Amino acid sequence: MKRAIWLTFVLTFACAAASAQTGIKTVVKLLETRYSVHHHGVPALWLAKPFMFGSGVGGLKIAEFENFRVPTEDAGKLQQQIGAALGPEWFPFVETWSRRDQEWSVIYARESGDKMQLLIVTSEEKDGLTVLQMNVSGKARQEWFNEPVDCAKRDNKNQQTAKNGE
Amino acid sequence: MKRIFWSVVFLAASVIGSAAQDVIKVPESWDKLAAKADEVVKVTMDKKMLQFASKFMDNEGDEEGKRIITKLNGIYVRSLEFKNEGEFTEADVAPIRAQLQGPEWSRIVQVEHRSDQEHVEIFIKYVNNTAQGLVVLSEEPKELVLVHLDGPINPEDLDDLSGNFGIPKTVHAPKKAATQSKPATAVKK
Repeated sequence: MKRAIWLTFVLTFACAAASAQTGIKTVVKLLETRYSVHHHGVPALWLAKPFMFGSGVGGLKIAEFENFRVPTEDAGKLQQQIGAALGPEWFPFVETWSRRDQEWSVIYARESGDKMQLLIVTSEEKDGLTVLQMNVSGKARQEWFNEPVDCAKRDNKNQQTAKNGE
Repeated sequence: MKRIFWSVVFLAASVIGSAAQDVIKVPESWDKLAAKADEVVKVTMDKKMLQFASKFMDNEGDEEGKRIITKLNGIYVRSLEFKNEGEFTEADVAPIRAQLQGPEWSRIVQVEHRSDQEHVEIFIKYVNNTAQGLVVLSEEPKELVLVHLDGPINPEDLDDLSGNFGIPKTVHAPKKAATQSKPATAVKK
């Protein structure tokens, strides 16, 4: 009996730990299954990391789906599925849709100790679909709370710069 | 036993249902409008997120903001920007306004700015003589903005929140708005 209790405890803990680390993986898997597409990482992402030192941004992970865009009519349904796949610990924070720029972004946030984890899904006409996960703390976190929409727009631009290696 | 079980389930569902009704329901027609809009922004900050944000508001000058958001249940912002005039009609806004017609809601500000063709209304919800929610509804020919602050709040608190948490910078407390030379600038995205 004792063994069963411990096993349940260990399993529960392991599941909780796994779900805490798999935000981006969950979303990437969902997109791959839903649209039969494959992601690829950003090869020289580590080069950008030293520049993030002291900015309050860390733990950056990016997955790209080049030449794939989320169909406009599917964005709402996809967002529901992303929310369901991520679970209740991730909450929808900002959603922006620009017909002018043919761009759709959805941002989920999650509390992670004194950090805030952000998961951003962006579909753009020019660069395709990108999923990004990062930790924000300090000033960066405050900026996200104060100006969530501006931060989302700025982040999209930074993301493109990092991907293009500019 | 079964009856007790179902009673508990029903009661729980009613409680959850009534809690959900506190948040202004954005009508489905707005999803259709969103498809026509040039820019759509939706910001959702529920109680959990506001509590989290408040933990880090320790800088000088943050005290008021922290006091306000700690009490709130949520901040919800929906903004639609259109390319052309006339993309939305009064019928699209009517379902929102209908939710603000109840006995608990009072319109405290209504501003019409003819040159900008801007129409701004601020509604406040009173429960037992205490303010329990605030809604800002701003209409321009090409723009529609809805801000809902759910929970205990005073109209004056708007000044401390404007420009933060996705609330447009020019959303101000009614008193200030009324004293401005251009009242319609009280709310502008």
